[in-house]
Order: sequence, then structure tokens, then C-alpha cells
Amino acid sequence: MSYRQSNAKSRKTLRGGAIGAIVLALLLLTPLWGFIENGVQRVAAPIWRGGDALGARVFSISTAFVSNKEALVKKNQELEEEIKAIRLKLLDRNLLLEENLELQEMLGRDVYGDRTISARALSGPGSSPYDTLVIDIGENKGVAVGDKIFVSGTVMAGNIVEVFAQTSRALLLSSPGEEFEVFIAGNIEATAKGRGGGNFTIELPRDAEVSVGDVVRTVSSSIGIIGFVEHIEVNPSNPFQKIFLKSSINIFDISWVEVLKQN
Amino acid sequence: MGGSSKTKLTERILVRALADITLVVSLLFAPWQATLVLGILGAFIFPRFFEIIIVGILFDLLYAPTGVGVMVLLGTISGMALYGSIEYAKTHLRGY
Repeated sequence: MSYRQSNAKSRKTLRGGAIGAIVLALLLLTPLWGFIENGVQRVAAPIWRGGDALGARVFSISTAFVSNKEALVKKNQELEEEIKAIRLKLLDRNLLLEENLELQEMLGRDVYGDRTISARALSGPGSSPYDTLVIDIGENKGVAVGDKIFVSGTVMAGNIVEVFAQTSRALLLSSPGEEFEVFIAGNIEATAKGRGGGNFTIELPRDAEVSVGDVVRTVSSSIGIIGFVEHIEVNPSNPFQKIFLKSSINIFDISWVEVLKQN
Repeated sequence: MGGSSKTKLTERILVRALADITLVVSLLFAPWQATLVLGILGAFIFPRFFEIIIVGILFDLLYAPTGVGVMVLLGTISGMALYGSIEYAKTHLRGY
């Protein structure tokens, strides 16, 4: 390629970049972004729903082809055993939750009641590095910015940051840069910081008694569990200890959530 | 002669359309790293693969938490940067 040709290509690339920058500025400085965002969400929602259904069907067909009968019977038995064990655990958990709610009612605290609404997660944090979740309800079900997202009833996962006609976008608490107040090791109040991928950190004075496995709850919600202490880093030269938390749920595997309406 | 070049053009358009569909499907269902790799591959394989910018914008329209106050446009900016740098690199690489 000659020098002149190469130069002409570079000029074209630069011109393309300039046009791109102008388009970007137009998108950002006008209400066009919100308008297009709403339209894209409206188109994407049914594709996501259809994709999930198709994925489940393809998975079931491929499983039938791949697995032989004996392996399936064995797998079935294992799963049944697992279900029995989980049911027992769930019973215990439900009893505790009921007791918790009763105590809260006795103390005159607000119990969620019918302010929660179930929603399907259309797209999770695996698809984006932002740690956001797109759910299949929006203005049509009265979702509002600031509503809280729970998984499995008690694990607080995030907050609604944007609401569209039929979908909403939630920012997970573990999103990098997110900060919120928590109770750790019973009643020590601290600020947790998101690290992405369902991980958090807390800094506390070195003499605060925290141990691995301690449950961490949110301050903003009476039964909102965040996760548990996974690892504690203590440096003799630092008056603070760094506590690493892990979410109680696998955020890459969220398929259903509960939205707690704020009003 | 004319017929053959027309067929080749149709083939090229079809291949590119297939690449675009793959990229969009990956944007909706695959991990973001897969979309990034596919976008980079597309930009090296096809001439002026501006789809990488469009996918970057779509990425932000679908997933970016723009409602939190600070405009996060990682996808859009990355798409533009990748397009510019790959097109620039192609002018200095043999075989383009």
C-alpha cells in the first residue's frame, strides 16, 4: 500500500471518529437517548423471553439425546435425595422467617405484605459488566425508581434505577462503586462497598469482633440479607481490618426476583 | 461474468448479515466477553465494520445504569475506540 493511500485511509478513519463523536454528543445532550432506550427495551423484552423458552427446549432435547436411560435414573434418584434435604432445610428456614415476621409485627414494624411483586430476570450480570439486571415488569406493574430487588424472599440484591414501559433495570448492590449501610456480626453498623460479581468489602477497626461466616444484613430493610463474611484481611500495620463478603446467592444465576415497592 | 460477481456480492452480503445476527444474539444472550471477541473478529474480517459501534450503543441502551446520575457509556465508547483503532491498525497491516 502506498504512503498516499495509507494517509487517505487514516484521514477517513479520523473523519469517521469525528462523526461518531458528534453523534454521541447529540445522543447525550438531547432527550433522544431515553426515547431510543425505551424503544430498544420494548423490542428486546420479547426476544429475551422467547430466547429463554427456546433455550430450555433445546436443553431438554439435547439432554434426551445425550443421556442414556440408566444415567438418567441415577441422576433422578440423586436429585430426589437432594430435594428431600433441601425441603427439610427450607422448612427450618420458613419457620425462622415466620417467627421473624411475627416478632416484627409485634414490634410494630412494617412487614412487606402485598407490596412485593414477582418478576422474571430477562438478562443478568453475565451479559454486562455493569452488574445490572433487566426484569420483565415496568411501568405496567407500577414499578418505580428506588424499589428494592429481593431474591429467594430474604436476600436483598439491588435497587431499581430505571423503569421502562414493560421492563425495568436494577443496579445490583455488588456493582463496583455502590455503597450502602449494613449490620455485620449482629449489630455492628458499617459501610459495604460493591466489588462486582456478588462481592463486597467492609473496613472496620481491627478490634471489631467479626468472624468468617457472619451474616451481613442491610440497614434499610428489616429482613434483607446481603451475604456472609468470606475472608478477613488483617494487617498489623493497619488499624483497620478489611472484610470480604460474598452474596448469599449466585448473581449469575438469578431467574426470578421479588420487587419490593417503596410506596 | 456479471452474474458471477453478482453472486459473490450476494454471498458477501449474506455472510455479513449472518455475522451481524450472531453479534446481536450474542449481545442479548451471551456473556459480554463473547460479544467483545466477536466484535473484534468482525472488525478484522469485514471492511468498515461499523456494526461494532452500533452494538456498543445497543449494549449501553440495554444494560448501562444511566439512571443513577452519571452517564455510563462504556459500550458506546469502547465500540468507537475499537472501530477507530482496528481500522487504523488495518492501514498498517499486510493483507488489508
